[in-house]
Order: sequence, then C-alpha cells, then structure tokens
Amino acid sequence: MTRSVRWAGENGLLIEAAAGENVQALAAWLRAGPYDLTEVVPGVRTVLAVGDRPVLRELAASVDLAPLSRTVETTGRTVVVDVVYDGADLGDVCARTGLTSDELVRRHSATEYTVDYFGFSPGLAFFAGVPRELRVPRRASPRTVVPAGSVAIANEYSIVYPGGTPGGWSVLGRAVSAPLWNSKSMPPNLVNVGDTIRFRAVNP
Amino acid sequence: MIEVVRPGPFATVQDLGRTGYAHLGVSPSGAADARSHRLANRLVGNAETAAGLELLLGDAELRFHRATTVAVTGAPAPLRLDGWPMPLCEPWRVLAGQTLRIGTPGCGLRVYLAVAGGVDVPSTMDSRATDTLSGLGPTPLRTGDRLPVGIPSHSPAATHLAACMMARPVEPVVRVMRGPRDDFFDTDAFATLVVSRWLVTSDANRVGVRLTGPPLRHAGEAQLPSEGMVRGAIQVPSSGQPIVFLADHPTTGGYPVIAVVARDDIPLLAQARPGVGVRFEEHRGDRS
Repeated sequence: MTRSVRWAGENGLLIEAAAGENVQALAAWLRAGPYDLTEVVPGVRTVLAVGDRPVLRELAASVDLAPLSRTVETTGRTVVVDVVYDGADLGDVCARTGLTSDELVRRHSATEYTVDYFGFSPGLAFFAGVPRELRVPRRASPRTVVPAGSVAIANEYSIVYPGGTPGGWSVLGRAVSAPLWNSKSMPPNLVNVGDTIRFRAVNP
Repeated sequence: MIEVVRPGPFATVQDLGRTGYAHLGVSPSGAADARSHRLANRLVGNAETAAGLELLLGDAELRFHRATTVAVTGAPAPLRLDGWPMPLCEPWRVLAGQTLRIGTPGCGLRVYLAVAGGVDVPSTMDSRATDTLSGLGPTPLRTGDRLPVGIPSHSPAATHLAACMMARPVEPVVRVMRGPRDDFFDTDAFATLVVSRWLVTSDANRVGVRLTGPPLRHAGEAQLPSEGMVRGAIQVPSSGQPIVFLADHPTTGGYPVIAVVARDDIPLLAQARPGVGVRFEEHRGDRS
C-alpha cells in the first residue's frame, strides 16, 4: 500500500491516504482501533492523528494494516430536516436556475444527500448531492451573520448553518426540526459523516 | 463568587480546552500559556483541569465575595490586594470583600489567576474555555460579571514554592520540529526559519501569532488540499510570513506547515509581545 506518514510536531502524525482512498473510512478505522488518540481529523487527502508520542510511533508503524476503502461509507441512518422554504435567496436562485420556486423546493427536498465532511466552523456539515439543475456558485458578497438553522446551497453541497458565522451561500429556507448542531447537548452533532439527509418542506 | 470590577483589555475564562471534537471543526482552545495555567491551579490545590482566568496585559480588578485562596502566574504583573503587595506564584489567602488589583506586566502578555475550587461557570462541550475563533464557551469578561467559584477540594497545594517560569524580558529561543510540509518550500526555507530573527507583529491573538522576517518561499503552489492542523504549527501563507497557531487555531488549513513548535515552548510564543524578537532552533527529538 502507499500510505505515507509525516510528523506534525511531537504529538501529531499526518497520514496521507493511498490514491483514491476514502479518508473518512481511514479516520473511522483509526477511531475504532486500539490507539488512544485525542483527535482524529480528516482533511481532503490526509488524516491527522493527535496523541502521545509512543502511541503515534506505534500507529506510524502499523498504519498500513488499515483496509483500503475507496467508497464513502454510509451509516445507513437517515435524518429528516423539516424546512420552511422562505429564504432570502429563493428568488435569486430561481432567476439563476430558471426554475419556479415550487419546482426549486420540490427538487431540493426530493433529493437524498450524504453527509460528506465537517469543516470551517464548529458543526458545519457538508451534504453532498445537490441536483445539477439546482447548482449555483457562492454569492458574490457573503453575509456577515447567517442565523442558525438557515438551509443553503452552493455548488454540489447543501448545508444547515450552525449559527453565528458569516456565510456566502444562497439561503433557501430555515430548518424548523431539531437543530443539527447544539453545543449545549452531548454529543453536539445530530448527524455524522455518512448519514443520509432528506429535507421535507413544511408550512411556517 | 468573584466580581469583575474591571476586566482589563481582554479577559477570558480558560481551562485546558475541549479535546475530541476537532473533526467537527471545534478548536482545542484552553489557556494559551497552558503551563502558567496549570501552575496556578497546582498552587491553590486544584486539579490542573480547573477553570481560571486569562488576563491579557493584566490591568484588571477583581473583588472576592468569599474568603478563598488564589494564585497568579504568567506574565509578571504587579499585584495589590486591598492596596497591599501580593506575591506572584504563591498561594495567597484572600478575605471576603477584598479587592485584587492586577497591574500591567513589565514583560509578557498573559496573566493567569486560579482560585481554589476553580471558576465554576457552565461548561460547553466538556470545557469552560472561551474559544475566540468560534465563540464557544463563556463570553469574554465584562465589568459587573459575577463568576461562581467551585467547592475547594481542600487537598494540599501540589506545590508551594513554584520554580516560576516567568515571562522574561529576553528574546525567546523556540524549539521547532521540521515538517510536515517542509518539502513544499524552497530548499533553504527551513534554514532561513532557524537562522533568522523574527518579530512578533501586532497580529497576535489566541488564534495565532503572525511573525515578520525574511520570506519563506514556497517551491510551487502556496496552497495544498486542506488538512488537519496542530497547536504550534507554523503555517506559511503565500506572503511567506509565518503564523504560529495557538489555542484557538482553526482545526484544518490549506497553507503548508514548515515546522511545529515543541509543546513545551508554545508558552514562550503565547507570552511574546508584539515587537519582541523570536528565534527558532531545530529540535530533532526522536524522529524515526
């Protein structure tokens, strides 16, 4: 196999995935294994393991024992998000895509998405699977604060804003079911990488 | 209960931070100079994980509504308890109603205060630390805040006479381990990092410390696919001017990391004031 490792200081080991390998699967193997790691952080092509040096040394020597998975591992779990489609950018996305708002809502909520990864700010999960005819680039100028629960799209991803951050995605509506991210509950994340997400249009 | 009479320029509640959530985008956070924070806790008989205060540049005033024991470590600020001098790095008995004035330290940046029992504000994701990057945890201290204090363990202080590693008015030499992305740079970039004198810019906060010096040039593209970042990572954006990540660092980043600061030397950078010179020295450790 062709994984390689690089040290990131005394307590970090950066593992470069093999060609075509799914990093989330490698991260899941690291979490399930006997290694006592404080953090396992998937990147685009790498997984960072943080822990005590002897643990990392052992891991560096045995990382090729991990099975090589090239596919996105799905958890088999589906989370349904209720959405009131009254977002500020609904009209703009209709204009860009040439769809009526009814058609836009129908297509956005008829799709199954997969939680691809978390990134950028706490609890921001990226749901892959926006249908081609709905894809729009990011807005030219981001909003300084996007309210928690805003359902938005950009390119192939849809997201639900965890709150308190700026954002440049087109907001289609607001989630009214249980928040997907709540830093006051344990665990704070309602969804995990590999879960299936469905949006369901509801009345305000 | 501690009443914040005056918080100074920027005061926060800190502990050792939140671990285990980096894959969800949550920074580790916690005391920027974790060593001073741990020491203050040990002096008052707390577990090292107890929450205390991190006071940027001191200049604060705190009133204690109950008798307790406190200790102040980190940047050496003059202390006065109801007008009387109070020592640094020693457990000190405070009576109910007394006011502690923390002056501006002569050198260093961050003053740490521990109170027996710990600051007992509600925790968010297993930690009471204020994360300035994401806003998780308690808000920075404001005048009039009343901070609850936990029940002291009554265990004897783990140390009395602290061999206090104070911030000192000398230019720190910071040990670094090469990599993980030193191969993204010109062949002489790492040598430039360790032979040059770097200046701490005013762009220095709990997220990171931006340094200025000779540019560290990338061999090709300045960006790489985003990857996990560790505390102490020396990230180099396209400007060639390095940023050293501290407690509230982003969990991933797309600029290459030329070297990582040795864990024991991170406090030197957390205490380095803008305008101070810093040198790096290669630490080979046990790389194998």
